[in-house]
Amino acid sequence: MGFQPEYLEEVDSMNGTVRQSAFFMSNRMVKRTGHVWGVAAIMGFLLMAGCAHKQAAPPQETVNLKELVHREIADPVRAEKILALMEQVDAGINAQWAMNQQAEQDFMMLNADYNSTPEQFQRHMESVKASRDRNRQVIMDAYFQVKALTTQKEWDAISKPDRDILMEFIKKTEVPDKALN
Amino acid sequence: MFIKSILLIGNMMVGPFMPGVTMDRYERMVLDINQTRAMVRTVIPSTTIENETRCKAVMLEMDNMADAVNEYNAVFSIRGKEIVHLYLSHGSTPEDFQKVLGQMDSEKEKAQKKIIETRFRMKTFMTTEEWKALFSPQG
Repeated sequence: MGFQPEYLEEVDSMNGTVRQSAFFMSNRMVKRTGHVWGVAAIMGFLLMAGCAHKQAAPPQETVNLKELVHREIADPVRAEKILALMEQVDAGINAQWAMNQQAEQDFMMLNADYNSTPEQFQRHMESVKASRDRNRQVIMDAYFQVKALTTQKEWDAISKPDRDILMEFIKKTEVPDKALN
Repeated sequence: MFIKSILLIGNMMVGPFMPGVTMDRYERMVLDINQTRAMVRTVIPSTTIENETRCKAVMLEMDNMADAVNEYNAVFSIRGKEIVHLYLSHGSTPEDFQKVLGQMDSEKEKAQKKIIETRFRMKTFMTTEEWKALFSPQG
């Protein structure tokens, strides 16, 4: 099953400290009042754009990010543009968080209702998909603008902390990463 | 830099999961499925032949649901990693992303459809009260 760990330890490349970031989604199945939500969560996870039963709050950006960008991008004007685009990405992500939480609640209520119809589920999925696609576009637009503002070398430098963590994460997956190595 | 972005982009783009799974997560999932199966047996006590028949039918639908999830995850495990590599690559294009995302969206919708169908078949084997006992938020 494709569940990600709940927390990820990130080594802050600036000062070597270790911080924990809440993953965007926890797939923990929460028990409420003695009832197991496992099946409802199974039903729900594919109906929502990545919504777990209980979501962690978005991790906070650190000051080091700004320092990293200004260190690696010599032109301060360009550096500020990149940081502004990153804020746009954050805004898209936060919107996605809020949408996921609402979508999860809506789905759980829909599922709990014995008389819910397939059409109601379909409308719910379509609504979630439309919201997801909008957020996806916001994030993708900002992401590609960042890349357009950076050279290969600059991009590699500012994405290095992410790269190290993600490569390590991929190594831990069940499916061997042969095709992508 | 974009670690939050990566996680949420992955979440948003590829569905509920980033690639891969840790064993503790998978084991927790298995535990929850088994606990739900146990709850079904509590909600539909096997006091009659009819109940036992219904109970088995519900369990079968739960198996079908788990199968749909596993099928999607098999696709996701590979495609999700492609997304990660694309994300980290300076030269990746919107078309690169769209190709992989299109495949994943298609598989996801297929899995969604199966799960919804499973949900409604499961319902046919349960009464309103039993369904509420199992899935109501208030319990």
